Amino acid sequence: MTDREKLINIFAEITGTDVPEINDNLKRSECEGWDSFNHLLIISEIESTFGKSIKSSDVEKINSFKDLAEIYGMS
Amino acid sequence: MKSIRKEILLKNPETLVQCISEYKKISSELEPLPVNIKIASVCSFTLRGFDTAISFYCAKESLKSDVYSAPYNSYSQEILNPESGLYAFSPDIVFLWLDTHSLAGDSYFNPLKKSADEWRAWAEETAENLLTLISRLENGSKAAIVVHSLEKPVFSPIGILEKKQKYGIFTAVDYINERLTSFAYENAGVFVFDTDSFYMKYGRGNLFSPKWYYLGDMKISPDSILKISSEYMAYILPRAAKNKKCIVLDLDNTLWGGIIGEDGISGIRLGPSPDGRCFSEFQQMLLALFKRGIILAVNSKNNPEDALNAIKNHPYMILREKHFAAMRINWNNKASNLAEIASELNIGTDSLVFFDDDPANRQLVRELMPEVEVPEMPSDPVYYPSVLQNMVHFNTLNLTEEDYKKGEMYYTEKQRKSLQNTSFSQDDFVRSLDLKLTVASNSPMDLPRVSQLTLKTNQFNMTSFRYTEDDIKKIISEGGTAYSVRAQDKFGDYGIIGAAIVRDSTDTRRIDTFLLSCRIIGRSVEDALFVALVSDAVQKGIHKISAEFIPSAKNAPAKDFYSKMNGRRTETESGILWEWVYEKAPVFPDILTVIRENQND
Repeated sequence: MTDREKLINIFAEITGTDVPEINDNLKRSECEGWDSFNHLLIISEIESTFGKSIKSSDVEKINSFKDLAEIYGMS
Repeated sequence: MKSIRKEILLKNPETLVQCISEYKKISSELEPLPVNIKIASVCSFTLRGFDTAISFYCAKESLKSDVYSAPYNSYSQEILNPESGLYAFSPDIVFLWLDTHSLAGDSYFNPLKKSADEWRAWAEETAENLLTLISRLENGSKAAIVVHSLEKPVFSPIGILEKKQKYGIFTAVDYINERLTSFAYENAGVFVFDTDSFYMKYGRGNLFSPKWYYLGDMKISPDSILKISSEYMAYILPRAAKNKKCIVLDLDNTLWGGIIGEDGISGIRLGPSPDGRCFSEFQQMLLALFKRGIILAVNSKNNPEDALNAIKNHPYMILREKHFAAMRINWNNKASNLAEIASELNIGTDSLVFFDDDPANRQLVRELMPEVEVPEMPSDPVYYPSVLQNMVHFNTLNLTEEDYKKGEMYYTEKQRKSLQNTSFSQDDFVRSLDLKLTVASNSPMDLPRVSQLTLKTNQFNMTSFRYTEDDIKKIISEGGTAYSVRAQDKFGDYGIIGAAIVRDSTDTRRIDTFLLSCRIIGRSVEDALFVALVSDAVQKGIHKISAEFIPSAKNAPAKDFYSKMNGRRTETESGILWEWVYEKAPVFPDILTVIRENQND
């Protein structure tokens, strides 16, 4: 499994979104399961799983799946 | 529940998300099961995800939980308002976690804002407020209350001089924690969770991350919620009567290094050598658990002569024959040995913990008896002591005289058994024991043990209602009576082995709780206790007695007791209701002696 696939699985697991629906066009504002707590869970899980860390100020700049993948270098 | 336990037994999620997804897999199976424990969390910060994490750990112990998390930062209202969601939920256990920062506000980071006198005044006031909250909670619910001690701040503007000043935030925290501890000492239903020890055990830096704190006001990271949940199990297990009672031990490479049948008594590793000390210390810790009332037993594949020779004669053996309530040293499979040990000791197999260094044996037992707790044993025995250190399963909510004497009691029980084998009938056997019972009512000294019996007794227990000591005090203050039965015979003192709780209305005595420790079943103690309850009622002018039998997974041994009393039987939603009318007091069984104590109205 590539890192991007892992990322998609994590995202699917937390937000309850179906895997085929997860792509770069997915916006945070349009994704029902992507609430503020789940957003932090996604960040926390990515950082625990991949050992990567982003700046706290960047966490709120993520507004789409594309942003998420890019900031962790998995686009 | 057994199959759920089996499925998640070896799942040890490392992140909250892994835990949530494991829990999802079993949630549909859990759904229809009845709730065994209601857990509430009241917190001064966000602990989201706690509900799933704690439910996961409960499921691992075959418990279905219902969890209430008080709304974010509304702990005062939740506790002070009797109409709050917390009281409506009616929890069995409440975890109250208020952190120093929330309580101290900005002075937490800037302690020089307050003078020494102001800190002293703050400490007094905060302690009073906290104790008021805890008392209100205690009076308003039947829950056991676990309150976090305040954590020490990490920052001091005066650094190394912090400890040299007259009074500061550190002194204040110490003072408040001391007040909490002495309050818990006085109140049986209140426990202090040592927050600093928790931080020390896992490392503060691993639990707390500024990122989650600033982004989500989380004082511990999402993944650390798993850590706090697993620590909370130490309180939840005994509250739900799921604490373990007996440790069953393998011998070779578990209690000593090497194989006795091959290495011989002089070849096994045990005692003051680099490769023997870990076994000695492991045994010391087991002995300490024995002294606090945990039963020990042996389950080993060996020639009994070889193994017994080491147990009796090895100079550095710490656990000897007298410490083992049961032994199975044979070539049978370990699961059937475990079943035999449980039945010999009259305890459920789910009260057992099994230590064995052999992964195949562990696998076999987990497969056939998922209810037995089988800790993973590290391949290097130097880690054995830490396996015991990390187990929360032996906790009880109190310790009584009976616990400290338990080991000795199993030894005298063995002697009784040999007498029983030579007696013609059960009655002859009881007569030859010279059994003396002391039945006391509302004896304050006995209440901790009565509570413990309601929490621990699963087999001869008519209703399985679980009560803390405070619950029982409350029932008494409402006019109820708590009975305790102490037994003695020519072999020794059993301690308090029976209890009942009754509530009287003008014409009916309702037996709320009626139970007997399994060690004494079949010796007419139940009949004597029943007679005592009825006689007291009749003496008060109450002639109707009612009692319910509520079937549980384990109380089959109690099922037939009421039916032999010739009462009126009605099926109810929860079980069977029995009603009797007694014009005069029945007589005590003549095969034993009954003494009545502190009788009151």
